[in-house]
Parts: sequence; C-alpha cells; structure tokens
Amino acid sequence: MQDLVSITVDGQTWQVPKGTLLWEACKSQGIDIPIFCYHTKLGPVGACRTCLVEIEGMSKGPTTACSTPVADGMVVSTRSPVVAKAQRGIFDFLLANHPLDCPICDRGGECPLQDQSFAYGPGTSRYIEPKRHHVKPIVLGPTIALDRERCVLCWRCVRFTAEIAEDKSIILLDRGEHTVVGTFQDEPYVSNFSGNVVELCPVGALTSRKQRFNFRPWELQNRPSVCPHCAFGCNLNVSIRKNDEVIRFLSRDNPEVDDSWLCDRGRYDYEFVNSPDRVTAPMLRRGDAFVQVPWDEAFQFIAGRLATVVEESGPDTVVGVASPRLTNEDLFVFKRFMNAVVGSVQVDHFPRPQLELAGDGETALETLNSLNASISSLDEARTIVLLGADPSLREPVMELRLRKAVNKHGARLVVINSDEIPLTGKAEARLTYPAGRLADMAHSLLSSLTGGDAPEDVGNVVATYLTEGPVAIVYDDRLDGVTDKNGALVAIGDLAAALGERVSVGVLPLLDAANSLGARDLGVLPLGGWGGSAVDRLLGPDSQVRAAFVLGANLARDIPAPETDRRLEQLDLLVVNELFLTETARLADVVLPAASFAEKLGTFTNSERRIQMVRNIVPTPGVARADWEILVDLSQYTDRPLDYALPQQVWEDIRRDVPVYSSISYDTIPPQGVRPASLQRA
Amino acid sequence: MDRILFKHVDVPDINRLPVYVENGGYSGLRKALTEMQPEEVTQVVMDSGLAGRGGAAFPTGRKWSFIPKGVLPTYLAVNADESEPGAFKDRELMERNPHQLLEGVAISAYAVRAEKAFIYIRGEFLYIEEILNAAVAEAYAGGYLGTNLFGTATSIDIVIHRGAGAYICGEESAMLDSLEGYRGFPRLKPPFPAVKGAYGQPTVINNVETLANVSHIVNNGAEWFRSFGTEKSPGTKICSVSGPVNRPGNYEVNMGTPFRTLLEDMAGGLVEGKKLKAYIPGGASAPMLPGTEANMEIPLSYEGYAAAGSAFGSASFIIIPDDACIIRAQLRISEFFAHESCGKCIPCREGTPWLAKTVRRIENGEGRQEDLPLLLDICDNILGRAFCPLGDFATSNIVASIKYFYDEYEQHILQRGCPYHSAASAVA
Amino acid sequence: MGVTLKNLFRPPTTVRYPEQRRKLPERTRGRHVLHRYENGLERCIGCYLCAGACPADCIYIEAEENTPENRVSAGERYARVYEIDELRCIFCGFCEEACPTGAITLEPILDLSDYQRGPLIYTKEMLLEPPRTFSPARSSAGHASE
Repeated sequence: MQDLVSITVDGQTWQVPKGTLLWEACKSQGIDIPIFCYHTKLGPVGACRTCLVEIEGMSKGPTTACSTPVADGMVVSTRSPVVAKAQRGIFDFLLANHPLDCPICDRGGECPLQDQSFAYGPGTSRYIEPKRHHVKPIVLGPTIALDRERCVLCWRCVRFTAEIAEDKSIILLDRGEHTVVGTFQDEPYVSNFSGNVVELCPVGALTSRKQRFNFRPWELQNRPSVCPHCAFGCNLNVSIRKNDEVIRFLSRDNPEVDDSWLCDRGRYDYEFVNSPDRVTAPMLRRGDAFVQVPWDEAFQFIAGRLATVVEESGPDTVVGVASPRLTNEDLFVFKRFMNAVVGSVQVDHFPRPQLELAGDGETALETLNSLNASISSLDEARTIVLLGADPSLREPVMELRLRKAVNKHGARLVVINSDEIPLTGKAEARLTYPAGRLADMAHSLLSSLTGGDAPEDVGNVVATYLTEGPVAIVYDDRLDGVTDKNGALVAIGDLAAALGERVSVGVLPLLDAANSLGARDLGVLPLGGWGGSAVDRLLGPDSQVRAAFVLGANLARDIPAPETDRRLEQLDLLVVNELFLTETARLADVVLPAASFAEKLGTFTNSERRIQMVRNIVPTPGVARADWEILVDLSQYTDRPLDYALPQQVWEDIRRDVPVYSSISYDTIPPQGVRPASLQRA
Repeated sequence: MDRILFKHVDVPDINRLPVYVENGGYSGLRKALTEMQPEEVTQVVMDSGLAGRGGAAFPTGRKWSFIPKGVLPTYLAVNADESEPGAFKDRELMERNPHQLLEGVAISAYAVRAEKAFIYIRGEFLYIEEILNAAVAEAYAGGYLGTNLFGTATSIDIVIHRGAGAYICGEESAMLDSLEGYRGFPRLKPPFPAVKGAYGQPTVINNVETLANVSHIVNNGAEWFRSFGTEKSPGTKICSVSGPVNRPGNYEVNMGTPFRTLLEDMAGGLVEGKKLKAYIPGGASAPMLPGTEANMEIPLSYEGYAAAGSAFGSASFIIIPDDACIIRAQLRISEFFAHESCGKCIPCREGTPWLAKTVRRIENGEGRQEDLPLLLDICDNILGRAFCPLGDFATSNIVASIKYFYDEYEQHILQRGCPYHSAASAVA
Repeated sequence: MGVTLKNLFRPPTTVRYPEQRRKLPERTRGRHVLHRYENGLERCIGCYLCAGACPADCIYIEAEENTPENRVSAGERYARVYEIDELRCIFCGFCEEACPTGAITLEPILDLSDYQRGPLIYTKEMLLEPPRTFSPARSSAGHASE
C-alpha cells in the first residue's frame, strides 16, 4: 500500500498517494486547473505557467501545480484572487500573438486554448502591437501540417519525439518570441507515430494533413472501439460524423496496452469503412460478371450447390478459411457452421504461421502459449529479449512500450536479430546471426543456458542477462525469412521452457492479425490442431476440394501463383465474405457483403490474450451483415440450422467451449478489455 | 585602497605561469591539497563569509556543503557567461590574471571532490578562451592541474567551454543544458544542481569573481578576509563603472564604501558639463535609482542597495546623465531582455517583447496614457510568474523608471515624442 | 354606407404577383445569399458555424483547403459543398449572426417554390452572388483570417 498524504484544495480535504503531482491530485478530484505544457504521459516542464496555484506557506507567490508534488497538510487555493489574476495575465500573454482564426482552425470546438481562455482568460486583449506572422501552413512531413501562429510552444510535440518515440525529429528553433517548432534543416518529419503529436497539440498548430478541414469537432461523436490492424489491440475512439461517416481515429488511453499512443497505420487507415468500393449486396457470378441479388437468392444458390457437393463427394471436400481479422464471434460461428452444418473438419485461418508442425512443434507453441505475458509486464521485466522480432514493423506501439520499459523502468533490452532494427540503438546487448538462422541462435542460447557449448558472445549474454528474472521474451510468430521455421519455433519453445525453470519468464508473440490469438484459442484449425493446413489442402496439387468458404482471407493475393487462381476458379462453389472485391472475391461464385469492425458487435483477443470489444458504431453499407449473421442465416437453408440471434449468445457458447474464456462474460468486459482470470498473475 | 583580486593586476606578464608563481601563485592550491581536507576548505570558505559575486550573493561555503556525500562524480562549473549589460569584471579578471581563477577553481573543485571542472565562457569571449586555454596548458605542464597533484591522490581537470552567446545561459541550470550540448533552457527545480546538475550529477556552480577569491582565503584565512568589507558583506568587490564618467572601468572596492567614493574619486566623476540623473547599481536587471544626494551615500554592499530598494547584483554601475532620455535608456534595456528571452515560459516570451514594443511606442511619440498602467500590469503579470529570474529582471527597471521618472513618461506621451536631443541623449 | 364608400374608392392592397412585386422591408429575412469580396473571392470559409448554429439543421457543408492554383476564399479553407435545405429553414437568421465573415445573409427574396423537394435544396452555386466587376483599387479588401 502506498503512503497517503492529506491535502486541502479550495476547502476540500482528501487523501492522495505521496509524490503525486498537485495537478494530477486536483484532477482526480475534479478540480480543474488550466494546463498546456504538462501532459500525464510526458511529465512536467513548468513552461506554460497557466497552472499557477497558491500554496499556503509558500512565500514566493503562485506556484505551478504541474511540477509540485503533494505534501502532507498542504493547503492550496486554485481560485484565490491572486491566482485568478495570475491566470488572466498568462492568458493575456497567450492570446497576444494568437491569430484567433478559430473559424478556420481544425481544433476549434475541442481546443483547450479556447476552452481555458473562456474559463480563465480576460474578455478582451490589451495587445495593440502588430501580431507575429508566419507562413501557414507549413508542411512538416507527409502527415503533419504546422501552423506556427497558433502554436503556444508547450513543446509537447518536441518532448514526444524526444522522450517517447525518441526520434528527436521535432525541435524548437530560434529564441525568445521568435521561437518556433520545426525540424532540423527543414527535413520532413517522418515517423511511424507522427499522428500522436496532432493529438497532443493543445491548439490547432499541428494538424493532420489527411484530415485538414474534413470536419468540425462539434458534429462528431466519439465511440470506443479497438484498432483492427494488428494484434497489439490499441484502444480507439472512432469519430463519426452525423452522416455516419467514420472520419477519424483517436487514441483511447489504456495504460495496460497502448499507453495512449497509436501508430500512424492504426490512426490513419480508416477510410476503408466508408469506401464507395465496399460490397453492399450479395453478388452471384453470371458468366464473367457479377449481378446483385437478394440474400434469399444467394443463400438458395449456395445451399443447393453445397448439398450437391456434399452428396457427391462427402463433406470433407468442403473447406473453410477465415481471416484472423474477424471477431471471436464470427470465427466461432464459422467453425460451428463448418463442423455442424457442413460436416467438414477442414477449417483453418489464414494468414497464420505456415508451419509443418509435427508433434514437438505443437508442444512448443503450447509452451509459449502457456507463458503468455501481459504487455504491462514489460515494465516489470529486468531483461527484455527480442528474439528475431522487430515490433516496429509488426506491432509498432510495442516499440514505444519497450522504450518506456527501458527509459522509465530500467529494463535491459537484448536484441537478437540478423539485421539492424529500429530498437537496436536502444539495446544494451545484441547478438546477430546469419539471415534465416534463427533456429541455430536459439539452440546456442539454450545450450549455453543448460551448460552446453556455445559461442562466447552468446554465453556472455546468457550469463549477464538471462540469469536474473523477470525475463520477457518477444518473438515473431510469423518467422518470416527463417529457413527452418519448425526448428526455430521448437528451439524458442524449449528455450522459454528451460528459462522458465530458472527465472520468471513471460512470452509475448508478434502475431499476424488483430485476432490471431482468438482464432487459435477457438481452434479454427484443421481437426482443431496444427497438423496440416486447410489452405494447402485447398490449393495443393492433388486437391480433392470442390467447395470453399473464404471469410475475409485474400488467398489469391497472399499466395501469389497462377496455380492459386486456377484452383480457386475450378471449385464448384467458392463463397467469399468480403468488404471489397478482392483478388479472391473476383474468383468467387458468390460474394457476400460483410460488416467491418466498426459495424458489428464482437470481441478481439490481442497478443496478451486481452478480450476487447468492438461495437456497431455505424450502419453497414447496403445490406451487408456481420459474418456470423450471414452464416447463421445461410444455415437456415440447410437441414441443420444454427440458432443464434445475438453475439451474446455466441459468446456464451464460446465460454462453454473454450475453457480459457470461461471466466469472461459480455457484461463484465470493461471499456479497456480484460484478460482471462487464469492468466492474471498476482 | 585594499586590493585582493587586482593586487597583481598590473604586474607585467602575470598571465604567465612563472610570473604568477613568483608572486605567490598556486601556494593556496598547494596548501589546500597537501595540508587540508576538502571539508576544511569548505569550512574556511564558509567562515570567511564569501558570497556569490555573480549577483545573487548566495554564501559560497553553504552552496558547497549542499553537495551530497558519496555521490560521485561531482562537478564544478564556473559561470563565466558574463552577459549582464554593464558588467565587465569577470572579463578583466580572466584577461589579466587567468591563473588566479584557475587556482581558485582547482581549490574549489577539491573542496567539493570534483575531479572535473568546467569553465563556461560567454560566446563572445573568443580571445579570453585563448588566454584561458594557454593558461590551462601552462598549469598542466607545471603540474598544477592533472593527476596526482603535489604527490597526493587528487586529480583535477579543467575544461574550457565557450557558449554560443545567450544571456539565459548565465542562469545556472540553462548553463548546464548548454554545457551538455542542449538548447539553453533553465531547468525545473527541484532537483537543484547541487543534487542533479551537469550530466545528472551533483554540481556546484560559481561565478568567476567568487572563485578568484578562494585562493586568497585559503592562503590567508577566514579572519583575514573578514577584515575587509562589512559585517554582512565581507571582502572586496570589483565594480564596473560605465557611462559618461571620466575614467570608466573596473574598480576593486572594500564593501561598504559609499557610492560617492566610487563615482567621484575612483571613476573621476561625470564628464564636464553633465550631472547625474540616475544610475543602475547592479547591471540592467537591477532597478535604477535617481541621482539624489541620499543615493550617493549608499554603501556599496548587498544590504546597502537592498535597503535602498535596488540590488547590488554584479556591481555593474551604469551612469545615466541629465541629458539622457530615461525612456530611451529603458527601451535599450527592455529590448535587450526581449531579445534575450529564451522562449521557454509564456510570461517572459510574450511579456518582454510586449514591454519593449510599448516602450518603443512611447519613445516614438505614439504612447497613450493607458500605456503606463498597462506596462505596470504586464510587469505584475511577469513578476513571480516567469519560470526563471530573467523574467523578473525584465520588469525591475520598467517599474523603477516609471516610479522615479513618471513625469518624463508623461512628457513623452503628451508631447507625442521624445524631448531630448537624439544623439546627445544616447546612453549606455 | 360611409365605410363602404370609403373602401370602394381606396386603391387595392393586393398586387399582381408575380408581375408586380411588393416592396419588402429591407431587413426581411428571406432566402440566403452567399457573398463575395470585391476581388471576387468568396467570403465563406467553410467554418460550419452557421451549420452549428442552425436550429433546423438545414445547412450541410464540406470544407476543403485552398491551394495556390485553386483559391476560392480568402483564408485557408473554403466550402466545397454548401447546401441549404430551404424547405427545412425557419428563416431565423442565426446563420447570419454566427457567420464570422459576413458571408451569409438573409435577403428579401421570398419566392421559393417548386413542384419537387429536390430543387429546393439550394447548392452553393445557387446561393452565391455573381462576381461583381473587378475593381483594382480595393482588390486587397478583407482577408478573413486576419
């Protein structure tokens, strides 16, 4: 239990943990103190001087609340005449050179400068000198535009690039009243995390070039959701306009996952939801073209063709492949549809690691799975090992978490990779291996750990870094470019297991898609195991497959070979549920319009096995429906109909079927998601 | 007159090591290193009552005693960023007798157990950097700097670092930022530099003149030092006198000497035909005082000028004669502070240019009656609200000049222009 | 009888609309007009404040950025789409009040009628006043952002 101290602010007395900054303490109690430079995730600098408060016994006059830790018995006034005068004075200064172009400013309407000036500033300005002028807007980089006239120089953006992303791209130039934000020698600001500075900016100085003038904040509604782009599962607020257009993604602070940051891919890749190219109605192939048909006609066609195939060649000539971008509910109904309605065990998800997993590979995966660590456990780790993994490309926000773990929590980073990766510079130790030879490296590590022979540098790293816990291992589950994938996975699994016998170990995989772990947990795999691949069976040279259901997976693009297209075309029945007419959908007999993540209620399981909810925020285009709804409806045209009406019902069946999820019910999933109770360590 | 720091200033070639040693140089360092413990050195300096000569007058010995024990390495940083308008004392000290400073630095570094001392020189002092570099090279060659000095285990290195020319870098924490290669921004305190300074380590920061005193104190003892000056301000002080006086320059005075002695006897009084209108006692950041008889008798000491409502600061006397325009003098000062504001905090960044522009408007004859209360209110909004003292400094002379020369401001406003002859009234 | 006689010779209060039109008070709140600056640039900067103020929610705007090649309004942004559903409008004049640049006013134009609903959604082209003759003397008039 933390030490508590008691403080009195504006006559209210309450207890806060010792060392809390006064501003945070007041905020937690709902006392508003204006602020610009301070940001919870960036820490105090005391530059803007708007958070002045009076503390009894301080002779120097008003003090900044953002930089003062609370002390026991502190008596503070945030509304005294002295404070009010000081705040008015600061806002007078702030607005002296401000262009006051709120009507054209993208921030107008949700602008802290507007709100706080209104609350604390003087009604009019006494400044009659000519205002400072700058060229506007300045293109700071491919994503960001800068308006120096509006800037209040809180340098949050500067501190973000210096302390969080550590690319130090945005800097302050010049001095005094001529100080401006810029980049070194006007080089473009290119970063994976550039969008965050727009969100940090307390005025309209930094705006997103993509979204400039696209909307006014007051016509938007923010709805909570989860980023659908990678398995890290960053939390989002989805902004929608009144015409149901998804117009912006904002971060939604989840200290356990994203720590309030988003990568640019997550932030700016949202246009697909409103795209005019979405599939809006079921389509049947007539010759070389598709024609739109009612659901009923599409279902009758599919059911008829399916019955013929099953009757002629048996149910196992029907294969189902689903994308791990789908929700748990979609995947579960999909599996049930294939198993119970069609009668086929040939279900799979794609993309996934294409391993020829024999028995020990499967054991390795199970070992790694059982050691699954939480993202926030990175902060507690003594050593973090990146074993052939580069999170900067796969799960970018993890890079920021790793930087934080090193900078703030003193974790030691060990980078083991065949190449330079962005985090190499942050590493305390690094090991390299010839490209693709990850398996050998993992074997060396294991051998060194268990007292066998190993190269000297490997031995040193093991002795220095792996003998003291907790150790967190991040590995890339896709194993791109690794020559012996199976061997590498087995070795990593053995290493983790051996390490686990000595010190406390947690494992975080880098996965393919937002719900890859969910697809595995639900067993969307052939025969419920890893042996063999339904995709191989479908596309293999002697394929007996005659019908396929493909949900969101783009086989024709991801397995580029003339053979792929030919095989898919030859099928007697190819049903594709898709948002767009993808390469695969073009080869289909029936294309069914599916709902995107913003159009359905469901859950994702991220790489730390956190169950998070996506919601139906906007209506689907046309008659599109969630994949699970489509399958349930389709099953009504067979003699074994499924009986689900609500995603909750699907989830209840998931709880029954998948033991690890049994503790979680829809009602108890908090806004920031939850990990299964069995995984939460003390 | 008693002289400590300028005792050898006229000895030819005193900047050369042999001449300096001949005149008793480096005996203090030898004594400190071979006969005294670091704590004893600190104690002597504390007993002597030596106070920081940079302007804040913080007791030097006490500052040293704040250094936490056992947190190594510690550093000593010497503030030679003398950029206060009107101040030029450190320049002469370094220019004429660099070894006196180096000896003081070495002793002080020993006292705080620092093995490395940085001398941060103002960007414009290129030629002084050359003088200091030559002196440091001599001292290394002569065995007064380096490892195992005088056969003891003590090692002291001195690094000369020249800034890029910014007033703010005279603020101690901004100086450390600049020293470390960052933009010169004052740092958030606490932690104070004595706990977390240069490169995150405990650091003592002292002014050049302060450290130049140290060798003499160690050589002659605290009691000897206390025989100079007043009870509260022991020692001597180098005063820079500038303006239309017959002999402008640096004068070492006993603390407590009346200002009249400095102005009339030492600096030779104002030039023919001019009378004293006002003077600034402690550089541009200290409030000006009108040239009344009472103000002529103020004893030159920290407490003397504090009592008179001004500040002794760095003892940089700017003399303003009767044919000079106060508003123009104020404009120079305000524009200086606006130019030198670092831009970190809002009150100073936005306030100082606002002050300068308003004063310029008044001087140009476009002033309004409401500008005077406006100026005072802007000052009030900066004072105590700014991040570092620089913001406060920018307000002191505005307030003082309006207080003492309200009529002159009003004259400018009512007559829509400056009543003074433009060439003759230029000062400073 | 006196009343009858008096009214018999009084001129008629009705006019032959639409050939004849009654002179309306200058401040009559009728149909909206979007104005231009003297140099031909549109006053409207697409700020949505009129749409925000509108109690009937009848104004729909999409804004875009001015480029050197395509400068439409004086500031950085302009309204690419500006539509008013005159059927929904209650002619309250709040839009006029909200406008920071004086771009939109309600003019004494009352003849709004059609056989269908569609044409009564007025687009920007319909609302915008034609460019006046260019007068070089005042060509720099008014930059909305300043």
